Amino acid sequence: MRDLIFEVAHVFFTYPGGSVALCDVSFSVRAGERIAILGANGSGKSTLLHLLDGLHFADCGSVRAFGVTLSEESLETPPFSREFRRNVSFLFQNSDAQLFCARVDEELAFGPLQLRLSDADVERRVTDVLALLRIEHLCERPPQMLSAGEQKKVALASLLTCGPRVLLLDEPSAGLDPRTREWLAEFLDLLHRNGVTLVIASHDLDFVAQTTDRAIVLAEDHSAVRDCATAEALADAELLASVNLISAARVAARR
Amino acid sequence: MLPEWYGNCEPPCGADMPRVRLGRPRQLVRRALASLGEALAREMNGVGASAPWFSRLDARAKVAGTAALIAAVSLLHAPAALGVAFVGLVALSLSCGLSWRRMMPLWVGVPLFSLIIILPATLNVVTDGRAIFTLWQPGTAARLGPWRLPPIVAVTAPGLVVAGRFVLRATDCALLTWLVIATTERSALVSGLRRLGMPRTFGMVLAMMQRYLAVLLRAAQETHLAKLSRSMGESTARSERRWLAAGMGSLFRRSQRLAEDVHQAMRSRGFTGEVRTRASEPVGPAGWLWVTSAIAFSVGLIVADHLTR
Repeated sequence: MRDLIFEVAHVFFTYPGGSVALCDVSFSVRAGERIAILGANGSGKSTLLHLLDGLHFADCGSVRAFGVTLSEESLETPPFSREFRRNVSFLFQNSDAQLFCARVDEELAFGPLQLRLSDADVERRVTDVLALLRIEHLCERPPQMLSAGEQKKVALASLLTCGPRVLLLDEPSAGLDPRTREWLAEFLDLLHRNGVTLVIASHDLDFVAQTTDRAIVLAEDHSAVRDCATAEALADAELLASVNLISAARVAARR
Repeated sequence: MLPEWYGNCEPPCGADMPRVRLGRPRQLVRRALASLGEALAREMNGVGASAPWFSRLDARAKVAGTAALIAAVSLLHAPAALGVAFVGLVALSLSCGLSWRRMMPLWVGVPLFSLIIILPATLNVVTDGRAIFTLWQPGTAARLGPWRLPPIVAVTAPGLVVAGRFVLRATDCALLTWLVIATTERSALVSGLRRLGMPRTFGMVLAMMQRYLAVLLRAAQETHLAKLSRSMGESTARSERRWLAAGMGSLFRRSQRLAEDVHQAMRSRGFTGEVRTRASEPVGPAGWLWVTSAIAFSVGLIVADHLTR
C-alpha cells in the first residue's frame, strides 16, 4: 500500500556485547501518523529508532521502509538509499553528536549537500529553514556556543533542510526548559499538519500526550506490549506501572 | 527508613582549620584544565578583538596574501630587508588591533627557539669565516666522535649573519601566520584553506576536531568537578595519579562512543564517505586589494633585497 511507510515484523536485536535490546517487536507506520514509542530507560526505544533509520539491522525479523527491506545492501543502492535519506530523518538525543559541523549554517547545509542539490537550492533551503525556526541570528555561531534549547532547534533545522516526510525523534523533550518544550510541541504539530509522519521515542508522558495519537509501549523485557491510541495507553495506569513508566504510588493516587 | 549511621556526623566547622596544600597531580589537572579552557575560550572570543578591516577580509584572500609574504620573506637574504619586513609586519599587526602585549610571547619565544636551533651554525665548525669570539681551544688532534675538530672553536662573523637571517625569517613567518590565526575565525580559516585546494576530507577532519575539542574538554572539566565534589580533604599523590589515569581512560571511551554516534548522525543524513562542501562566495574588493598589496610588497622586498646585495 502506498501510504505504508514502515513495516516492522517480529524484530529481534542484540548488541555485540550480548545485551538484548529488542524482542519480537512488530508494528507498522502509515503516512501522516504521530506515533509514540513509550518505554522505560533501556527498554529499546532508541534502538528501535536506529533500526527504522537503517543505522542498525535486525538480527531476526525484518524492517521494511517504503516497501523495501532495510539492509546494508539496500542502503548502499543509490536510488533507494538517497530517496530513503531524503524522506527519513533522525533527531538524536545527544545534540553534540548530531551537530558535528563548525558552524550552524554549515550544519544546515550538510544534508542538502549529501543529496547533491544545486548550490542555489542548498542556500535557499538553509535560508528558509533558518527563517522557519527563527534562528537566523545563530547562523554563523559554532554549535558549542549554543544553549541546549538552541542546539535542539539547530539539530531539528539540520534535518528539515532535507525536507523529510518522516521524522524519527529520540527523546526530543529531554533537557529542555518549559518554553522550548512548548515551542517544540507546537512545531511538531505544525509539521504534522503539513503531512509529516512523526515517530517519537520518549518517556515524557505529558509531551507524548501533546504530540502523538498512537502509542507503542515497550516493556522492560524489550517486547512490545501494547499498540493503541496514546490517550488509551496513558489512561491505563496498570500498564504504565508494569512497564516502569509511572510509579506504584502514582497508580494508587489515580485510583 | 534510613540506616542509623546516616547523617550521624558533626556539621562542618571552618575554625582552626589547618591549611592543606593540594597534591601536585591535583594541582596539575586543575591548572591544565583551566588553561585549556581559557585557551579555547580565547580561541572562540579572541578574533573579535582585532580591527574589523582585517578580520572581515575573506579568509582565502588573507591566506593567499600571507602565503605570498611568507614566500617573499623566505627568499630575502639581506638582514636590512628582513628588518624592514619585520617592522612592516609589526605595524600591520598593530593596525589590525593586536596589542604589543599579545605579540610579546611571539617575539620572545620564536627568536629564542630558532636561535637554539641555529646556534651550531654560528661556529666555525659549520660556517667558515673570520672568527670574532673564541669559545674553546681543543688543540690540533681533538675529535668529536667521527669528526675532527678544528684547533679553535669560535663564533664566526658569517655564522652570525646566517643565524641572524634565520632568526629574522622565522620571526617574520611566525608573525605572519599568527596574524592570520589571531584575526580569523577557525571555521572561516578552515573553509578558506579548503577553497584554496586543501583536501576536503582533511578540512572536514580539522573542523570536526575543533568542534569536538570543546565537547571533550567540557566532559573532562565536568568529570574533574564531579570528582572534586566527592573528594574529602587530603589525597595521596598515588591516588591522584590513579584517578588521572582512570579519568583519561574514561574520557577515551566516551570520545569513542561519541565518535560512533557522530558517524551514525552523518550516515543518517546521507553521508556516504564523499565530502561535499558549499559553493564559495566571490572574494570581495577588499580581499583583492589585500592580495594585490601583499604581492606588491613581496615583490618590492625581493627587488630591494636583490639590489642591496
